[in-house]
Amino acid sequence: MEGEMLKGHLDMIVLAALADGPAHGYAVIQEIRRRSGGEFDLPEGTIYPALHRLEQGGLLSSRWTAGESGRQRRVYSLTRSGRRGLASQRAVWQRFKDAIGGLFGETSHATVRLGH
Amino acid sequence: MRPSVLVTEYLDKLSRELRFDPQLTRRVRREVEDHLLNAIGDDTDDDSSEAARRAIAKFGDPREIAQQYAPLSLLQQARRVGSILLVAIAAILVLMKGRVALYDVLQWRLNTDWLGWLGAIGPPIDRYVFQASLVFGILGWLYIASRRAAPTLNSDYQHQLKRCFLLSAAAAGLLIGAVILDTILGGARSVGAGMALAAVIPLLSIAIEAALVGVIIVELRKVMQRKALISSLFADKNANY
Repeated sequence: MEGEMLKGHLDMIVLAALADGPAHGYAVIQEIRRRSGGEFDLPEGTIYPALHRLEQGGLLSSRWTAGESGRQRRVYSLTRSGRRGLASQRAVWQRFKDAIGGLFGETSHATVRLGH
Repeated sequence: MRPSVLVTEYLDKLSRELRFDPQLTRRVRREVEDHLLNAIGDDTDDDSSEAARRAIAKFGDPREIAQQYAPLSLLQQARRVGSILLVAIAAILVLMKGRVALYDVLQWRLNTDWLGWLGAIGPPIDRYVFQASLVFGILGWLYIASRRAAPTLNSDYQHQLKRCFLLSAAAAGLLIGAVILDTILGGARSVGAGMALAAVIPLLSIAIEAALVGVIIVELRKVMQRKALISSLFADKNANY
């Protein structure tokens, strides 16, 4: 997948990876890779500035916890505002996907509307 | 080379690139260390040094990562300065009002003969300069608080940051002017009152104002230092920051 295209949607990708519950940075990356079937393979260090930015924007909260190894790790979770933000981005993405699908001739609401 | 040495070397490089924000550096270093140790632990390769090299390569170039933190770090610094300015302005307002009330109680009049023209126009100028500082301080804080950190230092974001710093610098400059005038006028009143023991209170309040101004100057200096360090981080790309 094109790196620039991914970077443009990085915030949404990170929020989506945290939708199922709190996770530390490494687990967020693993989750993104797993859910995208390995398609989203960004430099891993890119995720951390995004996590910090989203936290500063009030969409995530974080705290230090002790991991199984005894090491301290920063765990991130979605805030209420983060959940709202993710829902709205998901809706925008769905509309965009339908519209692009319509342009490419796929069957969707967009194609039906274009057909009319 | 041992994996721990490779990780430490990488973390040192990243810390050097992030030196524009020491607090952020400490946090990022701990997080990245945990990340790399996790990645090395999950690697199935028996050669742990190779696993460390792979984990580091996957993590990315330290400079590119540091550049991604720059927009957030600059905005956080702007927020810090904006908040400190507002607190300082509020504190100085309380100190000024308290001093005026004390002058009324003690019947200390401003000696216009001694100060000349400054005795006549000084107090209104002081008031207006302080009010202008308050307006710029509030506007700056509102503007800064309404900004969101961008993923990259694009030109639009750089303009926004410039506006944040200009508003803060204007508020700080006016506040410093008001405190300097205050010091002159307050000193003149105290001298006119014959350096009575009661003069310690206004002089002390002026000293607190001067200390607050000192804090603001230190914070503005930190902004300039951070901007310069971030500028060097982007030097290869000929960016403005």
